[in-house]
Amino acid sequence: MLQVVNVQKQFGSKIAVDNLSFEINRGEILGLLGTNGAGKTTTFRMILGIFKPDSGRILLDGKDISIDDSNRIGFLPEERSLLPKYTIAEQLYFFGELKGKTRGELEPKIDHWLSYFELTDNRDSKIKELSKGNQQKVQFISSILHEPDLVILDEPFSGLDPINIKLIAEAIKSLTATGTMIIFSSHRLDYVESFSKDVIFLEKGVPLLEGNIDEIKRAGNEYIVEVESLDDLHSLEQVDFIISITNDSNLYKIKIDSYQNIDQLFSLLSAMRIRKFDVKLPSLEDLVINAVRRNDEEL
Amino acid sequence: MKNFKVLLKYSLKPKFSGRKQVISYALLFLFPLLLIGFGGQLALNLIESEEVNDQIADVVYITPPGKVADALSTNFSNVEIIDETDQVITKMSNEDDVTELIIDLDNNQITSDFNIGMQDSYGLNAVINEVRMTDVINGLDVHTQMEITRANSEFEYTNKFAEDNDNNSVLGAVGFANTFIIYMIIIFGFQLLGSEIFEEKSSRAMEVIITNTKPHVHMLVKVCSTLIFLVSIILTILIGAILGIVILYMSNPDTVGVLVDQLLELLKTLDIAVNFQLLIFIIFTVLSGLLAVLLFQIIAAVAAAMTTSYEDYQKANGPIVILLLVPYMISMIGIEALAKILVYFPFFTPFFAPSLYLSEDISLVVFGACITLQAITVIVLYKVLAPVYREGLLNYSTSSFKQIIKRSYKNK
Repeated sequence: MLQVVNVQKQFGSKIAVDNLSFEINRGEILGLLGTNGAGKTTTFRMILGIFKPDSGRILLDGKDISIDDSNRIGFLPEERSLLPKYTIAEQLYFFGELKGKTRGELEPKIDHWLSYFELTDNRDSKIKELSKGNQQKVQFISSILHEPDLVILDEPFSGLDPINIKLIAEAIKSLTATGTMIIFSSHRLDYVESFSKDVIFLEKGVPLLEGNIDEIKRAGNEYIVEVESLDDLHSLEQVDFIISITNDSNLYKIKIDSYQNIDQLFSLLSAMRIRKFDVKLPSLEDLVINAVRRNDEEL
Repeated sequence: MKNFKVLLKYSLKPKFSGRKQVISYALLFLFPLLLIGFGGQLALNLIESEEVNDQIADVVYITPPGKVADALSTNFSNVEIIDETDQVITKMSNEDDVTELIIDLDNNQITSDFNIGMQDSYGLNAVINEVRMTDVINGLDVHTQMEITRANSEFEYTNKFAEDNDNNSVLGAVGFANTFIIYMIIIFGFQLLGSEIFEEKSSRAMEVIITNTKPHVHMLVKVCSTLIFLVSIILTILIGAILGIVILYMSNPDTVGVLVDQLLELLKTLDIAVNFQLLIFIIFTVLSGLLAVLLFQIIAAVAAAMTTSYEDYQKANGPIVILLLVPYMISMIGIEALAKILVYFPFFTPFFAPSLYLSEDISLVVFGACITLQAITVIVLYKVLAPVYREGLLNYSTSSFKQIIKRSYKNK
């Protein structure tokens, strides 16, 4: 288990990460999001043992994390981080050996992953000769080759086509199935939403949004229920938990103030001629935008 | 020292494996081997042919000393003519305290106590040869071609007054060669190390590498691998040169023996005995050179880590080249007083210490002390600059060097 407990990091007068806490259990994926300069990279570097937190603790299986734990961690940085003059095989052996594996141990794993990503024929091609997508695949392999307990994936789908996105997505799922903890970071919030149960959104080092994605969605104060009805639903506008009702012919959008009132709304509509009842939970993107907006208003 | 071995292996691999590297090393090995082993043979042949002429000259001696002395008496008031055992065979004056010219006919040498100038030395040759030619023309000892050759041979002029200066020139040459070699090694190592670190940084591979190893270990690896590479180059050249000498010796043992004798003669001139002390001096010279290279390597590593573009790195090289020009120029110009001060500056020790030791301006103990100072500086510099290196590696912003240095100690 990875535990980040009240971690703070300051550079000069600038607070990079402020009082950040979260936990990841084996087989779980955490989405760590944030705008540029929000403190994600600093958080990664503290987890990787490059920086020490000014206060707070980072524990891996109950022990304070340090650079000596690097063999248990895999890291895929946002930018391409490969040596262009190396061949794919050399690159993978290099990063694998840095993680404490022997060439003998790495050999079958390299074969497996190159075959999985259809790169076997490019084994001896230099990195600089590869397409961006293939480079990203090599980078992904190098981050998981040593079978780490924790993997940090920063924009893993960058430069990939839908087919390769699917390949990496399946690889990530297979990792969680074997108990690997994953921290997933991406500007594509739909990807994060599809992978992660838990999410943290950082803004200027402060977590603006954190917790289980479904719970966050249900804890909001504005929900839209799409209802297709043959009756006029505007009569419901007087109900206290209904904020507004708009319609486009028979399709109504009913905005309510709490997820808890959905059952009540459903009961109210049961006497009417209803063809469709669809609760529209806010997307992660909506939640993030609302959180940032709220934070800006408070400031 | 986590991952030191792995990093070192992968840092050395591209320097020693691959077709280009094999060809480069083969050329480095073959060049001195061929130059000395076979080119040396040609040079020796030339020397030998000159020596044959000299030999003829030494054997045949046709000019009576008295005649030469007579001819010179119009220009010089006090002339001695000696034979090969340094015995005076003709003396033009009885004044023992002042001798203007000593003419050694057997060794073709004229020695004076003062600088008679080039013009006069030509004049002397002309006078002596004129006497000889007259003898030849007059039919004296005109029997063989050898005699004519002897009659036309040039005398080597030596100004005893300037003997000390000559000694200094030998020392200067030693100093200059030493400076030049170290200068080249430092500049080459600086470029090599810098570009290697910069390549890892600019490709962002550093982001991953640095998550597996401590930055100061990474710096140490890069410095060590470059040093190993430089030493391997020097050794390759040396081995090639030694084998070249062996080939030369096998094909011409006598002449090589003469060269060895000449080398020993040079050491004798410099008042250096071939003994344990000489061995220590050689070890000190090599050690001092290596430590200076290390010092500059550490600076190169930090400079490369701090820059974000190759142009910036090249700009960072500027002050180093200028710094290196200081000992280079001082060695060339030969400002002894400055050299005696700068020898204690660890970056400059190998530029000055060997020649100062040879000229007896410093002792081996002082040389050793300078090396100790260098070693301490290497350790201190490594410790002091390691945080800057780490901060630099992770920095991709356009922060100035000053800002990075400030940050590196704040974020320590």
